[in-house]
Amino acid sequence: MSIIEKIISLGKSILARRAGDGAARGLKPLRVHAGALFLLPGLIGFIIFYIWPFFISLGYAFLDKPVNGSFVGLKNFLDLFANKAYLKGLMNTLRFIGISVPLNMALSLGIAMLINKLRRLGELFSLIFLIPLVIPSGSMVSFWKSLFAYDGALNGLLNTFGIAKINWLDSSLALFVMVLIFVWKNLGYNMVLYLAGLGNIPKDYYEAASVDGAKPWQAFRHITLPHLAPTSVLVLIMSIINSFKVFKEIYLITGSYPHDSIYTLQHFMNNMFSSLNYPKLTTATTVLVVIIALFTQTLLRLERKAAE
Amino acid sequence: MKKIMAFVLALTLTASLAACGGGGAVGDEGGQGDNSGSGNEPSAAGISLSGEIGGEITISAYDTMRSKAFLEDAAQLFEEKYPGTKVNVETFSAMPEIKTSEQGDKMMVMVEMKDDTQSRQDYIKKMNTALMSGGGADILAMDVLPIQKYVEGGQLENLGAYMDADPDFGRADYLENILDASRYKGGTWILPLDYTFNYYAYDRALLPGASGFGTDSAFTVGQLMDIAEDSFDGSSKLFNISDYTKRSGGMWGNLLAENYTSFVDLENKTASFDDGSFAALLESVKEYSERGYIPKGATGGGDAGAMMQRAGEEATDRFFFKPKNVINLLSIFTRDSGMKMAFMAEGGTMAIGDDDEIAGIAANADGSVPFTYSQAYGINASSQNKETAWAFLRFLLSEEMQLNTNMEITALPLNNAAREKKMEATLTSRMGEAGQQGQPLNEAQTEAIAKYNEAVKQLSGQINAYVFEDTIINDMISAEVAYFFDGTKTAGEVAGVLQNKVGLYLSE
Repeated sequence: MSIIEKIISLGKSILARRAGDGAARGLKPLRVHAGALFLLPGLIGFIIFYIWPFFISLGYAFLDKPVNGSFVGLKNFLDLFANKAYLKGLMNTLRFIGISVPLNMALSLGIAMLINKLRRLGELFSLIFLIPLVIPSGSMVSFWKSLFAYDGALNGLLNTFGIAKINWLDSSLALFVMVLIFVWKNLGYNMVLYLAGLGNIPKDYYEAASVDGAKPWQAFRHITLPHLAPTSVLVLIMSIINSFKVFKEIYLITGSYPHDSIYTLQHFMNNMFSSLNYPKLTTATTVLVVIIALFTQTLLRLERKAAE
Repeated sequence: MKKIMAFVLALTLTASLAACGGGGAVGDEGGQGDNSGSGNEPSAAGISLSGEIGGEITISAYDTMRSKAFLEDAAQLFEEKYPGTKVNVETFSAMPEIKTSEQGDKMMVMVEMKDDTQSRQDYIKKMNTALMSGGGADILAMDVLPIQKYVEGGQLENLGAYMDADPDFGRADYLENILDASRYKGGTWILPLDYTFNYYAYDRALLPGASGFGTDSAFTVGQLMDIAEDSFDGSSKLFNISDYTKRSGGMWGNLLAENYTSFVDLENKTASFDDGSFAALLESVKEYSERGYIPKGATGGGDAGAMMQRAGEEATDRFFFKPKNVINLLSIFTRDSGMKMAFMAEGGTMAIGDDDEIAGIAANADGSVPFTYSQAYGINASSQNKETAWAFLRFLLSEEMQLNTNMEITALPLNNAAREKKMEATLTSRMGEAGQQGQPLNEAQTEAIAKYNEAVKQLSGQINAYVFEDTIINDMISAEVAYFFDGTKTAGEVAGVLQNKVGLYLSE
């Protein structure tokens, strides 16, 4: 008997005993699935490393200063929404998500459909699109830097065609560099999710549709899209989560204070952490938790509707 | 369940966000100018001292070379004076590298103090983490720490309250204008142990009959450039400040320091780089250089040979004005007294020429006169033994410690009695000729030291500001300005980028 089996039988015997004891005392038997036991280690870790620190740090959001601070009620929250840098970070983050996530979803779906149609070399193309995902950010950063720097390769190329140098990283164009890096990095990941989703759509539907004379667009509109809805919700959630992760590359390329078009909420929070402003940091984090919680809630509802 | 799931997802995401990044320097920022204190003031309530001094305190400094030996001496003497106390001294930076280089019959010894950004940032992070958890040393050396951020975060004690509450502390025993100038946001958060200042010398042969100069005057580089511009005929340069160096100093560094507050208002958290004056200032440096008003910057950096060569070139050139530090002020008064001075700092470009006279103390464009210090300390607001920490700080200001041989030689003590004694000691210790050391001062020497004392008094009396430097803003400016001087960007582009970045930083 393996260790796992032993644990399962132990768990079952405990539950059975508890159920028996409870019944003897006129209580309802406790119904705990054995799986809960397996969830426990992860849950404990999650509570210790996420939930507990979050609630500990939450206290800072109501203090005026981190050491020997006094309670200030909701002042930090009011101040936060009057903070220009925070508002800029919030707007930029929303703008970035608004541009990059739909773009990435559309492109990854398009490429997934193309690869899905390929009889040969499909796997090879999938692999190619997955490569950016496994390249460490640090090693790519020097490439992006040398490409987009003022004296970089791209400007050098433009120069040979007689076009004036463009300040890619220190102008509003920096947003497009950020979108490009995000799409480059995440295209493959979403594409794989979509490929799996496409693989689950029965071929018969398309055959039936073509027999009925449906055009490719109609097949896409009425078969592919509805069947990809659950996948799309997952891709959307993952894309939004990954859109926050692009900060790593942007931070390494442009530092703590980039051009204000790519100054995101993560810059704000990171800088608040560096400058010891824990009350401001935890206030911003709390607001973000609420926003993301509401957003995820809405998405999960949408997914449920889509599944129905 | 879905709601819980949504919350958990949100939490996971936020927690992972907060965990990434985490780098970045902590900038020290602060105000400049007349720091008489106003605005949103951190608590500066009065305190009462019990007079009980005892227990253990820890003092933490980054700069090993300047602080370690001095603080260890102080710790030992303090422990002897107050039995039952224990003072731990922690310093972090590596000791400087000493290099020698020979050219012909000349030998140059260079003490290279490397500004190890990484090590400095690591120290700041270490201190921040300690302070955030309510720990950290009782006394913090304000050599690299972000003073302004600590003041805003309430991490520093208001030393002004201790000064007022302590009957053994008399403000009049120290240079009060320096104590006043160290104030920020309504409190005194740092206690400088010493001070130093810059002044300008003019060449009396090139500017005969010059008026308005003297120890009671104050000038900016810009004002002096205007004065000398009319007399410029190409044979002499206006200033022996090179146009631009990546390190601090240079004409650009000087002009920026003078005009800092007009570009960066730390109190009101605004940046004004894009109103044209910053770009104009940048252009003016290039213009000065192109017209031959000032020498071209040495690009060699730390190369001892290149520095010697440049020093040689500058020694043969003549300049209307030269920036000088208090370190070589004494030479102006001793050069005619028949004494031969032996002090390294008085060689090369630092030397006082035969025709050099004091033009005035270095001022900022807003009219304020700044000082800098080599050592200053603050008390951690979370310290469990603040009274002993304060007693130790007061001890550092005592005549005994202010005259300690490990105190920075180039700066002047804040303690009035110690300052006068140190000036005399400096004079006698710098007399190089055999048999002169230890001898009583002759009439000419006594007269020289009296004049020197008077000059220091007058120049020091003008000081009314301290420049709290902001390393993050300074790093941003240095990085961008380099693009202007290497021709990559125009002054307007540099100003635009800085407006954007500094503005963002200040608005956080």
